[in-house]
Amino acid sequence: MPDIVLSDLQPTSAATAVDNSIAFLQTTATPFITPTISSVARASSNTSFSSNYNINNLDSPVTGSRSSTPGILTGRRPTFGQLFPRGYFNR
Amino acid sequence: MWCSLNRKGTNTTSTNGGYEYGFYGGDRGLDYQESANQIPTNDSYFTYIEYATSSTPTAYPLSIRIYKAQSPQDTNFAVIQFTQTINNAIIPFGSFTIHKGSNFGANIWDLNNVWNGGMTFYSSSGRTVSLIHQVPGYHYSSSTTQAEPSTNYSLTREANYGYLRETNNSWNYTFPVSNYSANIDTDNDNTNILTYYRNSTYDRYQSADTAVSYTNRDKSVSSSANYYKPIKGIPISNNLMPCPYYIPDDFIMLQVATSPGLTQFRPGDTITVSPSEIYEIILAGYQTSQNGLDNVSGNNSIGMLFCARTT
Repeated sequence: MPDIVLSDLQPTSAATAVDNSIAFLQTTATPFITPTISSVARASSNTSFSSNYNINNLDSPVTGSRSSTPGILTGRRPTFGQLFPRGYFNR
Repeated sequence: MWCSLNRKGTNTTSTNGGYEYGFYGGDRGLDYQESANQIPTNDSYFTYIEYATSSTPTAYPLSIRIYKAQSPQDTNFAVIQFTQTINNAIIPFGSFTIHKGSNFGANIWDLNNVWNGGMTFYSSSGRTVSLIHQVPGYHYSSSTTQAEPSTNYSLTREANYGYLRETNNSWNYTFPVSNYSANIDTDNDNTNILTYYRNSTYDRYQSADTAVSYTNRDKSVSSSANYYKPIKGIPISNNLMPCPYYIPDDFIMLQVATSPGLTQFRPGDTITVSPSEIYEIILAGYQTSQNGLDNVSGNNSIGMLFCARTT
């Protein structure tokens, strides 16, 4: 078995861990930037943003059986909302 | 090295072709992982990129965005990102960089001796953007690309093995993570990279003590000390020494704390510092409705922005 020569493992020169001429530099001489951010404009704007609605986003209908008998408001005059009833009720 | 000789390649009709597509060659344990050097047919125990929402992934438009450095910067560097437009909001998914070119690892390794199979994944959580340095591949128990001492699953000749060599069986130990977190009115974590910030409006102490002896009841740091700037020269990983690569100067980190509190930072949003310095957001880690330095409840959106310079 050959002898282990420690000098074989010694670094021949020091390497630079972090290059200060490259790493983590400021981009501007302006001390304190006041940027305009489009994200803020979008959040603050009163302009509506239209969207193509995805039909798949609709919730599924309620499952289960439905009653075949009319609801309790059938044939009655509405108590609010409509000025005139639709149809002739209680005539 | 991808070997396709005498393989069907893209002519295969099998959806589970395995070696029919070709395979990674070289030396086992140095250049490829045994039995894992083919295109996997499932993502179990393999590195993968999530490029769409897991819920109804085909229901929304998918985009692939590429942010590439321009000459004289290193044109081998690019950030590739998948986004989907969901209910009019651009939502980022897989964001990554494939390490490429001779600038990467220059003066550390020689591509005549090793090969570079590394990637950087970009992710966001809370107020943080993270850079995750990784060598993709198969991983199961001690069968990882970084297994030390070398096994039939290690990629010992892969350049990053010099950094990521790992005797622990856990795959997670082979991911150096650099966390860039906002440092404005933020509860810091001692593993985060902290960005310098000064604002004389808030770096100020006002005492309620009315004793005559306290003549300086309202003092602030000089406004000349104010500091808020984008930071370039981002190391590809802040956990590796010597640093093998610095992301080109057109890519910056900018911490942000702004009102209104419901501001959402999306890929493609612009940051205009001046007419000659404009950035586009690639990925943002932020929290809305936060109590910021102005101490108005829910008035701030605070986070870190990873951006590319467009002007």
